[in-house]
Amino acid sequence: MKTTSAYILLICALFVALFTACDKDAHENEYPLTEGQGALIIGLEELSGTTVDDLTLYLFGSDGTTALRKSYDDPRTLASEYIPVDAGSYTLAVVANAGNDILPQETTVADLTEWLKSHADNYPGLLTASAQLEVGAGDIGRLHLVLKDGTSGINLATVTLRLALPDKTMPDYSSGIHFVAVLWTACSQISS
Amino acid sequence: MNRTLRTIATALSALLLLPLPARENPDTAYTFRFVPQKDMFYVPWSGNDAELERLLLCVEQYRADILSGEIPLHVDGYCNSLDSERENLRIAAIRSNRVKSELIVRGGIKEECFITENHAADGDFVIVRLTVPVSEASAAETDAQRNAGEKRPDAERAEQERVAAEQAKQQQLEQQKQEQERIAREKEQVRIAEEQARQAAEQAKADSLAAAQRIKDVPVAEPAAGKPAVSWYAGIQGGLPFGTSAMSSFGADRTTPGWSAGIYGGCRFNPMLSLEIQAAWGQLAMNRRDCCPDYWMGTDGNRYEAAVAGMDGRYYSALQSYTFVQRYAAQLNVNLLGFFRATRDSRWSLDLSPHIAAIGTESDFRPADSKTEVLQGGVRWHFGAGGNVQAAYTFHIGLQLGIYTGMTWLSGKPMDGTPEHLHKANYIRETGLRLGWSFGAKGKEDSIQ
Repeated sequence: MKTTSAYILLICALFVALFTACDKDAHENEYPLTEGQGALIIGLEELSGTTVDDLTLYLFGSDGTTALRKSYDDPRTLASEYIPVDAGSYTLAVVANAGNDILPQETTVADLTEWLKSHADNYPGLLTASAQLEVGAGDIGRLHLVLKDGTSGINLATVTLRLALPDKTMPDYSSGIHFVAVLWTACSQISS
Repeated sequence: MNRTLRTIATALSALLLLPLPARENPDTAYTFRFVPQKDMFYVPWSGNDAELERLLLCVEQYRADILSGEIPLHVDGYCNSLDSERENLRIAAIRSNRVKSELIVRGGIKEECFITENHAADGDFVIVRLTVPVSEASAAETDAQRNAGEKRPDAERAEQERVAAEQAKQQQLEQQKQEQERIAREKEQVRIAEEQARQAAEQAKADSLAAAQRIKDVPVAEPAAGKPAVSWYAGIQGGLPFGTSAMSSFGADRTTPGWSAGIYGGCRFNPMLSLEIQAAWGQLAMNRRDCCPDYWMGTDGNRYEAAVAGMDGRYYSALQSYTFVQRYAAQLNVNLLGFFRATRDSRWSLDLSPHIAAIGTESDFRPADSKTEVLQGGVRWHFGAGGNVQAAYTFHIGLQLGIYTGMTWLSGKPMDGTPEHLHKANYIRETGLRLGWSFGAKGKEDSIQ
């Protein structure tokens, strides 16, 4: 009887120990990245009821050139993945229902915008969205963009300048001021 | 005339000169008395000294004839105060020998002068007889007459002594019998006293138990000899469950308890163990966990990292999982207080209660601020295992009120209806109250569970 009692108490103690079982961090290494990289998770919402058949994603770097171009035949694929990118500033543009093969491979924001404006009539279901973002190293950036009809989704009215003023002792200081004047003119043209 | 008288006198004288006709010489008997059952020859005692002196005078007088064998001494030893004839004869022989020894030593005669005979009858004495010549009749006859005269009272005395000895023996037997009866009575009295004391002790114990029970106000069921009391019980229980799965009742934004209600019934085998079955129904409300990214659930029932263009759905942060739970369990209750003599009959119980269960969950998803269902999670069945810690107090007539808290782990897919992803946790924590009633073969007098 004493032995039986001891076994019963041991079983109960094991059950009590189960109460203290810990729930490890299940999300550890959920989005593996290399050093210096961050990631983007892009969600898209469509409000007009238009079916989304394909998606093309452009990521332009701070120099305006194409850092990443990805095409998806199924929007669920884009919604299911995370996109590793190097840390930095980017401009994101998403084009839907334009055919992945037709869109230019390497372009700039301005050129893409121009192209879309010129071909919008060929794609009645064209949907676009854009955003500017910063990706930090190790960060997982989650975006939720609304696809808009035509090219109205490409809305980059705000241009962020990154300018380092030269030292006033530098011989080209005066040239630098001239450079700023030219740049100001260019920005004005873009915004118009 | 003168011539005639002379003739008559001469004739008479002649007659006197004639020898006496032959006749038996009278025996001379001497009686020596002994203590019943004893062989010691006590002198002086009971006339033995006078009798011995007389006999020694006679032996002195006829020693020559005694030594020559002409006058043998007849010694008859008697004893009838012992239980067996053998013992009586043995004692009679010893007595005879003691008397003969005295005569040999003091009278100067020999063993060959005696004719000895022993008897297991008549009394406790020794008679020495010798036949003396008649010519000495004047003294001998006087002695004989005296002995005869004395023999009658001796015989009577012997008879009286025999009767007295018999009476003494009977009296002794009577005394022994009375003593035995007295001892038997005393033993019986002792036995009766012990029996009464035992009954009194049992009664006192029963009274103290009854008194203690009156104080406790809970009757204690006296178990059958060697076996613990078995009782049945049933009750209702209700509590607040908290679920944790891919979603959790302890959400990132809010904590939402559910509800649970059920019934149970079981059997208590002894103060330590009882086994019961349970059926319970309830609902859990779970939200996105704090550690989880804001996943997106589409109407196709799949989980996405973000919203899918062209598909309806909700981010997890905007959803709440409502899960209906039905649980059918078997639970073993181990009363820790039952392991200790001081507390095994206490009104309190403290149970560790492992259980196994079949658990069915049916989930749907609703916006956090709306009761309208937007997504259907589906029905899932799980195997459950876990345990409770319960404390309860038993009132009189078997009513018991208790509190419990515990956890149950569920196998299989997440109970909240979400697709399986990363989180393996799938359990319910619940705290609640139990109200039970004990009944069974011994009726409402059972005080446990």
